[in-house]
Amino acid sequence: MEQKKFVLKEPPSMEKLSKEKQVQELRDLALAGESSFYRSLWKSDPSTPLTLEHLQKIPLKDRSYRHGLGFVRIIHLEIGHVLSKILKSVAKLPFDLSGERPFIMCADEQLSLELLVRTYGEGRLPLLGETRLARSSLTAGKTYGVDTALCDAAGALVLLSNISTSPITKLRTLSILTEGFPDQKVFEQVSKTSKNLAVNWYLSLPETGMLGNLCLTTKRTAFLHEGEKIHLHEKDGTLLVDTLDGALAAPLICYKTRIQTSPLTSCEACGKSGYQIFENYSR
Amino acid sequence: MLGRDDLAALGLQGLPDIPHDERIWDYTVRSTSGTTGGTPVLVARHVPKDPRLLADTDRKLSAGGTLGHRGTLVSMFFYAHRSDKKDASIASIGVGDLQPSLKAALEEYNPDSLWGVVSFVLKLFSHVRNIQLPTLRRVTWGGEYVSDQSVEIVRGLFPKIKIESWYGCAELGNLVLPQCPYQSRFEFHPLAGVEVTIDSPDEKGEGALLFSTALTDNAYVKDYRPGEVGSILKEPCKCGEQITFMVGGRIDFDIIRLAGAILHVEECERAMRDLALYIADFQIVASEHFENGAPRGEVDLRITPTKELLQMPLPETFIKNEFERRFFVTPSKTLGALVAEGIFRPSKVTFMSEIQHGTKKVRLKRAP
Repeated sequence: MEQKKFVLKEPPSMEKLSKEKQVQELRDLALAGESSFYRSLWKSDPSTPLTLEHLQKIPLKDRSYRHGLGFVRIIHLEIGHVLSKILKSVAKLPFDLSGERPFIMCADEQLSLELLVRTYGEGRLPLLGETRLARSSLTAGKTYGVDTALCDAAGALVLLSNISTSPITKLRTLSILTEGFPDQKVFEQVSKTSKNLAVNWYLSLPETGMLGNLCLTTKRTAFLHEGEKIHLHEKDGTLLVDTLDGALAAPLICYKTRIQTSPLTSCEACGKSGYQIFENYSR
Repeated sequence: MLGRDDLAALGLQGLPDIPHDERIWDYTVRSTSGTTGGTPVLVARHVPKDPRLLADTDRKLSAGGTLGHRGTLVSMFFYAHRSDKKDASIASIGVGDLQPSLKAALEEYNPDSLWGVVSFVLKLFSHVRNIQLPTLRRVTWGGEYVSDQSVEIVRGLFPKIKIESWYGCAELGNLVLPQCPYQSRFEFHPLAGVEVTIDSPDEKGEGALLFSTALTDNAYVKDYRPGEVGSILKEPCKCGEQITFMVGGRIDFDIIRLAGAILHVEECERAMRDLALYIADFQIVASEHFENGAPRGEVDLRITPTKELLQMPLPETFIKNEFERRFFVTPSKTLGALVAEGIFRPSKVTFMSEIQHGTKKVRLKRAP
């Protein structure tokens, strides 16, 4: 079989294709590519889903279908570790960055560094805050004049609990990346915080990147709306993912998350179609 | 001379001119950690651009330090490799990564060089015992005092690698070239565009280090004092570089002048190493008192004792006498001799179950 290589930048045609076609192209390239990972995975059954155990067992170099200069994120899991590489040349945030001076404040420092690379990719200069140095980080944030914040749930809790007593006046938007159902404590802090702050929740797994934004309903349920660079589908009550983000050196195809969900349905909050995420979900 | 407040006022001057495109990788925004007290200083500046920095590595690992420091290394690495077509990468670890899965993760990543902060690098290698890193060829470390013992530990694990030091600070960034073969671990050649001078040098030429450099195209820092003592060597280096400066340590931390004498952390560690059977951990707090118009030094030995020391009949007296006998305050005089001359008070000894070092292991400091 002819060996094909991914080019560093996504081909322009890829952007115009439907997501289903993008996934098909990804599959074709994965089967024809230099790495034999997907060929061996799908040897007997091309619908075999990729799992966290596969990622944990197969080294990054054997899963990589794109190459170039990048940041390698180390993901620690109970069952071991997974490496993921984000290519610098095409790294972008998976959501709109509605600010000029971003503030990254995550307890997970590997996520912080990934967001740093992606924020640079947006042409913005981020300030990295540290939850263990919260006071000095927030003082620095005020001096810098941060207008948008990117946090994980623990980082958001630190940020929100501090700005409720000492506001960062220019801060307008807060993006919270959560690995599971929105944390109750953060949820309560958000509701206490100034109405001038627009808060967006995103479901994001370390190994996949952002899956989409979450709509929270008053009934303590959440609906996941598919992100731009991701393809979601449901099978037997589990969420499956194809990553269409060209910045990932090892794209995931038919990745079986551990997220229990319903079939695609109408969101109770906004009416758009989404996948319901349950409160008792944990990884 | 520029202080922290002056730098704070200057630090964001270049910000409006930073482009929102690919050139942004040439910049970083950094804050000091605030761990030494006071308001953190925030600076928007260029990352160091010398092509010799970070370019000769394909799989870099940065280890420890503040997240801001590690983020800047990512920018520096990407800037250094900006025109490469190769498959280069950087990974970065901090305290949160000291987990059971780290050893296998690093063995898979297989770094060829490591850039880190001294105490974290030591903590890392004690966490990932017997790690196999067959392609590791260089450890570059700094941010803290590099002791003989630290070098011995890493040399024992990786006998064939090059171990070198870096020097810089959050406010101004890395200030030095990679070390040349003729330098000790405390000697550095400044990067092009970095001017180094000594404030009020003593008879040996030693004094506070001052640095002048551009933060951005529109902001120039003149005579900034990061807080270390040092000197400038008179002779050009054999490698051809004209300027070599030497870093002695942090003012009021690694090097303390009091009562006309100078306490060096390196000498403290050497003396304490002889007493390792009795001491699990230590911190020396020095102070100066004026008696009859003359300064008198005093040393408080804060010690976490081992069971061997506690079994001694008079453990405090034993350790006081042994330390004073071993610790040279001048080239020819021990602390004990200066106590006998009345220049220092007899040393105090305080036994502690645990010594709180904070984010950096401080072995020697001046009493607040």
